[in-house]
Formats: sequence, C-alpha cells, structure tokens
Amino acid sequence: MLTTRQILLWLIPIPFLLGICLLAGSSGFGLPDTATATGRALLELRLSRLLTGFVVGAALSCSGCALQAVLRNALAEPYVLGVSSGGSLGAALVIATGLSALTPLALPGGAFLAAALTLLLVCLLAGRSNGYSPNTLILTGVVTGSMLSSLLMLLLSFAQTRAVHSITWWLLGNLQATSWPLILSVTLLVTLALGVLCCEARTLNALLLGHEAAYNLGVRTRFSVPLILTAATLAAAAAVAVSGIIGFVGLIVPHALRRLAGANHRTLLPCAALFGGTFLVVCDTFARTLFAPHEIPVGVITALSGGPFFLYLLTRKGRQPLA
Amino acid sequence: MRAQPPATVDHARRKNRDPRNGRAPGAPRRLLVPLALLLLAGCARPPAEQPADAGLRLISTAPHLTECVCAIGARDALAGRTESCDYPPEAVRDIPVTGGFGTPWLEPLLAARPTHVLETVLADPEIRRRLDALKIPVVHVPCTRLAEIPDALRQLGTLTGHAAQAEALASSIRSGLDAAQAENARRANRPRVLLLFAPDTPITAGRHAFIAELLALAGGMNVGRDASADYYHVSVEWILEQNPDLILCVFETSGHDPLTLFGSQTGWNALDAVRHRRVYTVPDLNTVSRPGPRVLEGLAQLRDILVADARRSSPSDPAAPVSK
Repeated sequence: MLTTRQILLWLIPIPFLLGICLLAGSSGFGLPDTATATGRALLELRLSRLLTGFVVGAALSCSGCALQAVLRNALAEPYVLGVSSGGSLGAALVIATGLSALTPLALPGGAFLAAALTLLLVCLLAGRSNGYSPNTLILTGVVTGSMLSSLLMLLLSFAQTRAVHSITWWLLGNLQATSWPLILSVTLLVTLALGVLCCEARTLNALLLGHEAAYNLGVRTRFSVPLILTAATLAAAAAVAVSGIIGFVGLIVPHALRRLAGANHRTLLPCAALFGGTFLVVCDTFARTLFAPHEIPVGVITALSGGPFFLYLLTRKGRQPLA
Repeated sequence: MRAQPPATVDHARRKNRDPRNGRAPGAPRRLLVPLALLLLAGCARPPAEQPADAGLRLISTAPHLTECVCAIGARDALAGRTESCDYPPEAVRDIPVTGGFGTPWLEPLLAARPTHVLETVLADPEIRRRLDALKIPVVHVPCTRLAEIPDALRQLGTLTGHAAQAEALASSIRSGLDAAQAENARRANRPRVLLLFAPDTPITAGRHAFIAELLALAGGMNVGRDASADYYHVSVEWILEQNPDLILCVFETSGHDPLTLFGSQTGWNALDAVRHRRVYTVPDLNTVSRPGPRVLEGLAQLRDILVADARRSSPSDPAAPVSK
C-alpha cells in the first residue's frame, strides 16, 4: 500500500499526461494552429473531449467505489442499479423516434431522464422491503436492468437499419460530447454528486463493516444509504447521458486504487476521481488516434489496458478485494 | 459480414404480412378432427391448390432485388419479399413478407413454397447452409455495386423468362451510366463532399459503398474515399481536418434543416460547409442507397444537388459542373 507522500508523487505526472492527450488527435500530434478557424475548432474539440473524458472517468470511478462499499459487493459497479439499461433504452427511443435529428440535447436528455427514472424505480422497489439491504438492491437492479434490456432488444429488432447503427454505436460508448452546455451541466451534476460522496466518506468506511455495524457506530443508514446510492447512481447516469455505456472503469479503477491506496474512502474517493478521470482520458486518446480516421470504442481500450494491470494487482498478493 | 447500407430501409412492419400465412383466429375445436384427417389425406397426394406447373415462386431477400424483379415485369413470380421492400408500392403490397433485408425468416419462407431464393447479401452465411439443407435453390445475384446492376437485371431476366425486358432495361441503364461517365470525365471542378448517414454519430462511406460510387459519378469527390470499408465511424476531428466543401445528409430529417443541428454542435461551426450553408439532404434516400433499377433517378438526385450547389456557391464560375 502506498503512503500519502507516495500518492502525492503519483499525482505529479497527471497534468503532463493530460497535456499530451490534448496534443494528440486523429489529425496529427501537436497543438493545432489557433490562427485558423479550423485550428481553433480542433482545439475546442479536443478540450471538450478531454473534459468529458475526465468528468466521465471520475464519475464512474467514484460511483463504483461508493457502490462497492455500500452494497458490500466486489462486483458492484456504477451500472448495477440498472442505470445503463435505463439510459440505453432512453437513448434508443430518442434515436428510433428521430428526435435526435432535432437537437443535440435530445439524446443525452432522454438517456439521463430514463436512467434517473430507473434509479427511482429500483430505490422505491428495494426500499419497500427490509430497508435497502444490499442483496435486495442488487437483485432489484439486475432484474430491472434485464427487463429494460429486453425492451431495448425489442426496439432494436423493429428499428430501421440506420437507427440500429446509431444505437449500437451509442451503446459502445463515445466521449465526443456535442455541445458545451451539455458538458458543463454534466460537469456540474457530477461535481455535486462527488461532493456528496466525499462528505459521506466516513459513512462509507463504516458501511464496509456491514449496515448493522454502521448503524451501531452512529450512521443513520435509513438516510445515508439512499443518499449515497442516489449520488453515486446519478453521477453514473450523467456519465451515461453524455458518453453512452463505458464499461470497466467503474469496476476496475476502484479495485486497483483500493489495492494501491487503501480502503479509507477519505483518500480513496479523491484518488478515484483523479486517477479514474486521467485513465479514461488516456484510453480515449488511444481510441481516437490508434486507427485514425476510424474511431474505436473507448471501452475496448479500457478493458484491454486496465484488465491485465488489474489481474496483476489481483494475483500479486492474496488480499480480499474489498479490504 | 458485409455492412448493410444504414440509410436504405423504411421497414414495413411484420403485421403487413399476408393474412393467408396467418392462422385463422379462433377456429372451432370441433373442426380439428376433420382438419387433421384432411391433413393426413394431403400427405398422400400433392396439395390440390398447387397447379401441376406451379411456375416460379421467388423469394427476394433484398429490397433492390424486389425492385429489379418488378422492373423487368416479373412481379408475379415473387412469392416472398423482405419487410423493407416498399417499391413499387402497389406491386409489393400483396407479396407476403418472408424476412428482413438479408435475413430470411425460415418458417414464413417455407410457407411461401419457394422454388428459388434470390440473395445478394446475406447477414448470416448460416442461413445459406440451412436453405441448402432444405433443398431450396439459392440464387446469388451479385448486385451491390453500380456496375453490377445491368448484369443483375439480365440474370433475373433469364431466370424469370423476361430476358427481353431485362435486356432493354439493362442497356438503358448501361447507356445512362456511360453518358454520366463521359460527362464526368469532362468535369474540371469536383466539390469535396462529406456523406453523413446519421444525425447523432458521424458515419460516412468509403469508396466502395454504393452511394459513394454514385456520388463520384455525379461529379462529387467523397472525402471518405481513402477507406475501403463500406460504412465507418469517424471523429469530428477528422471531419474538421478534411473540411469538406459540402455535406450531404443521407438520413431521415423529417423536414428539419440539418444545419440547425450541426450549428449547435461543438466544432461543426468551423466547417466551411456549415458556415457557407452548403448542407443538403437527399429527398429520396432509397434511390441513392439501393443498387436497383432506379439507379439513374438516384444519380439525377445527386447531380441536381451538386448543380444547384455550384450555381449558388459560384454563380459566375465557368468551371462549375453544368447541367445536362
């Protein structure tokens, strides 16, 4: 495990990495010529993509951290409560009905709305029984998610070929956000959600011991658990709305960081935001430059690069995943 | 697997399927025994409704094959079509639907008692093996490229016994394409065109896509021509770098101006095509994306767009493409 000083040392390369990512693009390496309109647009495009990547990476990593702790499940990830299926269905509906041809905000708006509704549904259903027990939550989320996924498949089987292409591409995840108002509102929402999670860091530490133990330690579980679930899942929903489904980051970054920085959420959550964001930006840089002008889904890179590293961490020493 | 053209199809719904294929709803139970007896009797001799010489019963697995068969006057030979087939509307309406584009559904296909299945691109090669196992002859009609259309028509003409009509249509298309080729050779000024297939993700076409061939013949230069893939996703950064002269939207816009869509997206405003409002939509998507008998109409559509654009963008430029 790293000491605080070592963690701070690890932070130093982050700005440089982000700078390199800004210089790389499918049109070549280097700062675009800002004297021309095209150059300015290129820079704007890369900046917007960098910011989107960072925000989405941070949102997914922190969301994964919090959900793994509150659900006490090593397999928990940002999409475990069904937001990905809900968001996909919303986005697919917007694409299939042709609303996405009207305004660029229709697609993220529809995805976020559907994801938030799914979260509400899952929380209402799971809260009816024994007060948000982890297993009930996970099962409710998984079952709701599968039902929404089958609705999505039904939609896909009837959709026009053109819409099928767009929906499939959206499902694979893409970080090219369409407009600044969208990016800024997502950034705001994610910042708020992560702020809430960081404020609840001590609660998360207590929840790792089990909900009952946390209650006995003075945690108001009936209030804190839904709050954390909502904040974590809304951050994920915002990420889904702007970038589609990007897998792996929310599962692997939290585990890797827990191995490196420890399971104390007061350091883990900020680390997850910074490293998760940077990780996704770097992966996205590869996704858009490796086979230029073809773009490949960023999820391919996150899984192929993060997977082996995580497996190495996992097999290095025999620690429990959530410890 | 070959990518299917994204903009090709307006799907007819399965409910349009011929009612003859559907079971009669709520058949009284007491009829079941006589019906079963009838079925048993039916096994002994050939079905009564099938004439001795049933003739051709073709299944089309692509909307442009359906168009080709109808265009050479062999509509009556069609026993099944895809849910995407919508042209000619009055001719295809009554043909039972036996599958999607490139994806035949075996049960309705068998129910249509086909003698041949016509195929140009199948989504899954396994289907072909299944049909072979069922002893249904599958006729491959190469018809995905511009140059293949006349021969596809001739092949279908020979198959259906409408060789003369097919030959006439094929040679008129051939001469139309040749004339366009000759006109194209004289053209000095070719605008660089970005083909765009979706409003929400930048998908463009490589040089081998049918519409890209059509665009080249109409006098445009496809900026995605370096790629050999038919359709592929590109980054907005690549589009900015290419900076096309005009953008051709090959998707359903439902009457909305695509300019307003692009104008509000990051980066797009720096494109010359957007700033000079040289963004166009194709009125009839099917004629430009189906390699079928209406290819000359599709070509004319693209040429009209390019001619109108040249007139608007440089009214006094003598090098601009001229209308025929």
